[in-house]
Amino acid sequence: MSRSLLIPTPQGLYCPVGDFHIDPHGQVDRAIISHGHSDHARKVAKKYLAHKDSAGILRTRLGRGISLSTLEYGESLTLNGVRVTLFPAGHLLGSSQIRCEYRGNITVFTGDFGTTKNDTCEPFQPVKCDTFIPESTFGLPLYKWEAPEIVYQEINDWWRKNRDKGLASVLYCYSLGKAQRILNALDPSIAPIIVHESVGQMNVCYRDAGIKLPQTLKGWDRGGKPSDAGAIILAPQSAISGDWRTFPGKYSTGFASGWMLLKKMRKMGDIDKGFVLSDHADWNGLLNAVKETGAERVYPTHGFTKQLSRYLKELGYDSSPLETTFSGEKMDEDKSV
Amino acid sequence: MKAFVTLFRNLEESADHKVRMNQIIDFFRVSTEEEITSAIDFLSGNRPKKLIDISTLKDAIQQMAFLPEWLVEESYSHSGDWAEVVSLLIKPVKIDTGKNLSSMIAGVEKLRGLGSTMKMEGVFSALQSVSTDERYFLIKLFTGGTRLKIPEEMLKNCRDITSGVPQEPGDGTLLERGSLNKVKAVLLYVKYGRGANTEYSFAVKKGDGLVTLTKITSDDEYNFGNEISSFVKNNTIEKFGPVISVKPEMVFEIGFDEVRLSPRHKCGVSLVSPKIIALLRGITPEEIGSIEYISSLISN
Repeated sequence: MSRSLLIPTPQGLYCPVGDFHIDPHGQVDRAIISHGHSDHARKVAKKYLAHKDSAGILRTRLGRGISLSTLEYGESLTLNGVRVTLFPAGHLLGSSQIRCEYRGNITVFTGDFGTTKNDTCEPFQPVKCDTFIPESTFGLPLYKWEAPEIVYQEINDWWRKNRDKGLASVLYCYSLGKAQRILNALDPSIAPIIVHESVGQMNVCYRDAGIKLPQTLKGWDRGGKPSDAGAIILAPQSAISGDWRTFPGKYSTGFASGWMLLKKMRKMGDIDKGFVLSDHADWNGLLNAVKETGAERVYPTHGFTKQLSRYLKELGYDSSPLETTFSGEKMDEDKSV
Repeated sequence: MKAFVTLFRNLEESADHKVRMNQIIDFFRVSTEEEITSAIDFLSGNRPKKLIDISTLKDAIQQMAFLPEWLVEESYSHSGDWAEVVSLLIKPVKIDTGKNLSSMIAGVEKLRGLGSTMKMEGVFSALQSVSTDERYFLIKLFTGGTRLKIPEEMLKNCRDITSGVPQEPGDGTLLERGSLNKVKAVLLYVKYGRGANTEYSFAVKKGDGLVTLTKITSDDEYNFGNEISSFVKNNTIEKFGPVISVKPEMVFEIGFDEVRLSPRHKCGVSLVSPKIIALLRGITPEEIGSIEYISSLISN
């Protein structure tokens, strides 16, 4: 009888046969990292393995000195007889599903994955497996995403109208992934684009990987520059206090996140306009992914794990929540950086 | 119709008086006389009586969306608003139909006389033919599920502001923040508190002298605490317990939302939400602002 090649441990997901951890949060020898977000990529391993496009992000966030080897999508490495292959997860640059194969038994961990169009990374690719471990951040049927192009247009319209009123547009978003996805979709003819330092750092990694981003400016001089009027400012929510508060002019605030679908989330925080834009799969995205893998066993790992697994059970899958400590899409990813 | 649906959503999500005023004014600016009249009517509380119970709707949605009851309940326990749950569980429609408020209300009235089966059919065909945003509003309308009420006085003021003004496009979601007034002021006292909190007192000119304008407590989010500390060390005049008076030499730019008359303050006014914007290193105390200038900004 086959079973999952990956099990939860206090340090994170672990492959007993291959002797490696995935996205660990406690001290380990060897870690495979699905993507660069801070709840998945921590400085706790002696050796790291990740996708080639994650390298810049991991070295920037975890330090230049980490011991890191990389794979291309579809390329394999065998660890103690377990064949490890990375496949695109569609979440952000370099984000990978991790496929583990041992004696014909296949387990796939998705990391965080997104199924809507995202021009800043490779699209999610379903992988056939026996055991599927997907994240389920948005695992309720309420969560259904619009086509991202519609949201991009909303953001550009909001920015343009703010500019016409003499207001700057402060758009809060994750500094890794979301910020670059939005930058890639902004209309640079509207006004200058300013980014917070943490966004700027990640932009370097994206540009190095050949992702096209518009020209951006760094911060502003204390006291302000008139040319900044009407600009859009991309910043993580943690920048709400501190220097970024002192923007020398009038502005309106926005926040881009899947959570903005719900009224109660829009009312939280000091945000004028919510944009429903997520780099995670929505309800249908999750169900389609499960179906396309052909897996018999599905162990959701984060968010609405109980709800998704109960629903899958009713559909006939062998399913139960797999408890890990990934936090999925939070209101503010950057706080824990 | 998009405009009213957007206005309704924005009003529900912000209780701030000024923000609500701006949203209503923006709506009035882009709407026809008829739309404005029905909006005022609706917002002041004059709206159709409940047509159906939200619980009837929730039972029906379960069957329509092919979802088990427990999952619909889970969705509600996450959202906390049945109208939102129902509007999101029905298949999303992207394009707003542009129905105006009065025709939506007329639609509700048309269904009122029907038997329960026909009524539900009417309700669902209406809900399926509108966008997700419109649908949320329509559910509130069908179920009498909104307590939103705008004071008539406020609606009247918005009407007065917009009547006779040429129409221009607006957007209720555009809000002004940080509409900062600014003044240059000189540092006069520093009071070191517990932890990292420090209270700074700033003064402006009054005649030939200075008068304290405002105190601002900072946990040094501005990162010039060190620069101030070393200035204070070298320029202390007197110490009164934790309070240190310094030579009036270090000039800052102070931002604030508004000025109010305040007999409690020595200078006669108080600043609303004062904040330190910048340390102006090249500026001398001769260039700071005056209390006369500040007083000219008093808002009533």
